[in-house]
Amino acid sequence: MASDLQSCVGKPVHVVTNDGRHLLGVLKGYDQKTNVVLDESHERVFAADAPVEQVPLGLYLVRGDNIAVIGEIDEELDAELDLSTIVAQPLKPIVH
Amino acid sequence: MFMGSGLGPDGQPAKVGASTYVAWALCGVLLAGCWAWELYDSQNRPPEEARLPDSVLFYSFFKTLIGKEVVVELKNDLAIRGTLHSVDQYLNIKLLNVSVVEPDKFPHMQSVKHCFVRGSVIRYAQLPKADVDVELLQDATRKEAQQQRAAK
Repeated sequence: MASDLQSCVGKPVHVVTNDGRHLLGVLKGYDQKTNVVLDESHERVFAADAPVEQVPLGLYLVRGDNIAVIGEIDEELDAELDLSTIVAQPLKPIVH
Repeated sequence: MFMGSGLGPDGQPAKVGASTYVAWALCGVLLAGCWAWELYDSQNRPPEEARLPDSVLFYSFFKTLIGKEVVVELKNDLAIRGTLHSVDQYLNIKLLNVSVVEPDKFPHMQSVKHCFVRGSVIRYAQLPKADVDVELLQDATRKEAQQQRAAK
């Protein structure tokens, strides 16, 4: 089962979706299908010609089918990031 | 009047008509049919492990690689290097101390230290050659294929 996620509950996580979006929020819960509830979530929008933009979203439930990666955020590393200097091509969508 | 009492209105045993016999016989045939179907169905049902989403073999194989450094390439071309922490029946993988293989191209996940990768989005897993016993894996795959053939 997806019990590997138990250690992330209550902590900030970085969810990469199949369409290449980045959702960051506090992991509130999950189930065996990797459906996930994110609290205080926001999206980081990457663009090739502009710095990263953060869009607040709130409480989100993401269906497991659409999830590619769930990363545990190291808060110190994240605080050091200067988003205004990061310019990157958005991730490609997952192609099965 | 209650049919099942077996007594007629005058207190004497009711006369049982031929239609009652036919009804009981039909019930019996139906019951026997249900039982036979259940028996047939239980023999044709696939065994528990055959209904698992993926081969149990590769699950066991990945478990032998826990603690080793692997590179997981995803179906969006992102490649992540990290220490294999755990794997589950869906071949979801958890990696520790991850780094992205091409950080210049993919600076999206710089603050992520450990990550969970959903099995369904993995394209390749690059494994340390020294830790894979190819002979053993070939034997195991042959054995599993043989078992599956025998089960059919």
